[in-house]
Amino acid sequence: MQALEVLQPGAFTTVQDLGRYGYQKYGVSISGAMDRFALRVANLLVGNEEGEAAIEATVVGPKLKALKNLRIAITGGDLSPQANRKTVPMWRTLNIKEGEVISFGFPKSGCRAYIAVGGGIDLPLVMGSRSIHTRSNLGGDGRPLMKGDVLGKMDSGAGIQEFRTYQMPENEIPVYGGQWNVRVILGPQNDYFTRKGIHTFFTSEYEISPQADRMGYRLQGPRIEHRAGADILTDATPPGSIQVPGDGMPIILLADGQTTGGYSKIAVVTSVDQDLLAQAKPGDKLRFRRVTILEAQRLIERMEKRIQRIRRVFTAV
Amino acid sequence: MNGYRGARYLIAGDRGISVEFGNALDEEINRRVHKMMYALKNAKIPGVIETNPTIRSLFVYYDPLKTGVKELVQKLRKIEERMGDIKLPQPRFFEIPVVYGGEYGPDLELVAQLLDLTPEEIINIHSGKEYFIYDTGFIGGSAHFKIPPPLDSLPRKKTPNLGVPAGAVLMAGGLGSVFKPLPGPTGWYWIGTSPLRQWFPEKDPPLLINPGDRIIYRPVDQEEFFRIKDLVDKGGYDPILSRRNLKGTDQ
Repeated sequence: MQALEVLQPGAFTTVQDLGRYGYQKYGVSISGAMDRFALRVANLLVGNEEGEAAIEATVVGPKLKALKNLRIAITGGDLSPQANRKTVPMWRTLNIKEGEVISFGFPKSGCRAYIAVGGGIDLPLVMGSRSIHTRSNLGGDGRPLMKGDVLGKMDSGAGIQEFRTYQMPENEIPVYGGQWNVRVILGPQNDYFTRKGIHTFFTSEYEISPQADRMGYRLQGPRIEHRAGADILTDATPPGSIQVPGDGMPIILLADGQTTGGYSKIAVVTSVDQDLLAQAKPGDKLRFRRVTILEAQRLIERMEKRIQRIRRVFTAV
Repeated sequence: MNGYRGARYLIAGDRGISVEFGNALDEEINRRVHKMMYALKNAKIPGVIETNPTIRSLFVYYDPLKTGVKELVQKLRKIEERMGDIKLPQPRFFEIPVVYGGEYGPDLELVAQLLDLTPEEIINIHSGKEYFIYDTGFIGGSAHFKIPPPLDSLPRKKTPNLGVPAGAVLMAGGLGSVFKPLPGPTGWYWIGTSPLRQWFPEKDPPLLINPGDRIIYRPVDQEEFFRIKDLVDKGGYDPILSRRNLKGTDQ
């Protein structure tokens, strides 16, 4: 069922769900939404399962024409969304009429916005996911959306009039910006760094360089000192890995990060803070804070409870 | 490997454990990684999402809402103790046609210079030996092997090459990449190009060459390169050496 036509693609607009699991052994990145929390909430707001595929826009959002009456929700970074040139609220269900144009303006806060459509964006499942991964040509046409692309949606089974409108409770809406405090778990190769190097990492401010995309962010700041060499015998690089190559400048791997790598990893960003990092932009400043694995996993539990709480608010009344 | 007294279990983020069997390019270490992978698959532990075998470690991704980390490590250690009798799949033996040098391998001359050898000597060393495949990492499932001396003394290039084609035969840092599955940047030396394909996203498994397999390079000229490429594109080229030999004896 045709749902949206791309009039203008924006800076880097893709379709993402919660990612591709089970194929890292073949070099296939997990990919999926950079900000999973925002994607999940966007889906809940339109009555979808939380892991359906939605549109991920980056800094400069796309211009999209509705090809039928649609139920949508826009979450994540505030890229000034509009419908027929009128500002529309984020983090709530919107009913869009056939022919209406959804567009974006100035990026006010955050970096990535999610546009979920009732039913979910219908791309073929490739290796269990609809996510577009440009570096391996997977999902859709394996490239960001282009002018003239038409996105389908799956049948949500009912007309939009039958649905209620939901709104994210104000106190649940994340605030992006300012200085980012990124919680990390030390290791697995912290023994490759001097005490001084680890101290530098935890006490300094690092700026996100212009080399920042879905694959990862290169950071600039005080040099992190290795004990001897920076290179390890290649091993796995889970999302959130903070690699430090020989120049001492950290690289954070994110959703589209490669599956293995040969640089020593000083730490791994907690899952919940990987979502937040999706909203950080080049020029933003980060500080790293150490947490234990049990603390990090409690944060995941808390995040799941939060999603369940939001889901209950939407399904109540 | 001598001195093996069990794996190291390294915490790597809040959803992963790296089970490290050693820190060397060693076939025995690599076989342990794969035995552990199959043993873990058979054990069907709740909460384990997927595993990623590398040269010397098995990365285990898990859902911390379904299993505690201590509990998981205990279970993994038990599996490690009992994995001895796991049988690994029958390895396959591939012949990799490759055009060396020129526009097919722009770094061949440089590599020869750096090692004070002739390009022919580099080709002879590179294509004169069977290689064991340790892992299939990086984008599109690039298959890696241990590069023989003196080629193993080459570090990664200081300035990465921003675009090499699919098929690029690469080496650096003690490793060879059989050939690059997809076009893209690389910091490795590009010495030749193969007409074969590694990446078949529509198939399961999606890769031609997998860990545990063996390969040998065969230098070919441009004419043969295009003849093979044509067959590969039509799906009519069989790069498996042992199977081709068997076919030969049948006739």
